[in-house]
Amino acid sequence: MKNQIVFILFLLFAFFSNVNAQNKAEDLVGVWEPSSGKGRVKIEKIGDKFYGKVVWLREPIDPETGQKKLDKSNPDVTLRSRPRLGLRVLKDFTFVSKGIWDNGTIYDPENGSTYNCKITMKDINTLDIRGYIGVAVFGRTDVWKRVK
Amino acid sequence: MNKLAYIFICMTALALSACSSSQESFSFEIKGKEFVLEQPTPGSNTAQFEIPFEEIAAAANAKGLDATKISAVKLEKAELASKEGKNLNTFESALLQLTTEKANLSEVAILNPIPAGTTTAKLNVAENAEMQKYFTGDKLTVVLDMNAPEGDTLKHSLLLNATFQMSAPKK
Repeated sequence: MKNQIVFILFLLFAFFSNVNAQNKAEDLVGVWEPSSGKGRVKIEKIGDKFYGKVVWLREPIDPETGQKKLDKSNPDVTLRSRPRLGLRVLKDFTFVSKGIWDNGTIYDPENGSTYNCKITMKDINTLDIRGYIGVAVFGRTDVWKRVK
Repeated sequence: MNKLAYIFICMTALALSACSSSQESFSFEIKGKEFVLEQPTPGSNTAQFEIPFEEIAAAANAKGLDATKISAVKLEKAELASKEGKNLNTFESALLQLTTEKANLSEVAILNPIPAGTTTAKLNVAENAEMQKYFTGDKLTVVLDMNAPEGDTLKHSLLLNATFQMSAPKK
């Protein structure tokens, strides 16, 4: 009898562990910090897709101008006056399957480049952000940690 | 031979003009829909609401038009008003965007900077924004980004009044 109870408890534990491990689309929502620690990005759901914008900068002031940092590397000259704080750097991600959000883009304000991007949730507090041009094999992955 | 070509051209022109004349314009209005900004933080603050396609279809149906064939969509006006009558210049700028399941988020109206001492603000609409793609899905998501210079723990409710002008053929 005791063994049976232990076995049932084990099954219940295994079941609930598995349920928790299956990422939901909304698990991506939160505030995340890239490995550089230079900024933080808030990912939110808009409509059926996911977007991320810069909500914190370690150095919000541009040392060259003494003013707030702007999107000064943007290839579109008309957008270079946009403030870096609040910039939407992750765009148009869709939840593909558990732990994967794809079909989006990531914008790097440091060089003004936009890359295709795939997000993989390693665990509830860790993301692999893979930016690439063309094929995902040729790209770079950065690890982001959840702040909130 | 020349006669035949002339007749063919005339008939094509007639057919095309018949097609184009069957299009009629109608407007779809968003009246006082609410964006809620719970706790604005420094930088961009986002709020959104959804409009089911049925609401847009109802505006077309009222004129006997086919809402599944909407074309030539133009945003005529977009105005924001504070529900509580607060000054809007707590915020630096306002950016209105649209998205659907199939169409990516894009900007349709902006006001930067928001004038001081105003509780309502008329946004500048993007003249060349291609909006037809937003009127084909199950629902339209309307997104507002309000840029705040400093953190503000007060909740803001903003009401949107907007008018879209568009065309559709008779049913």
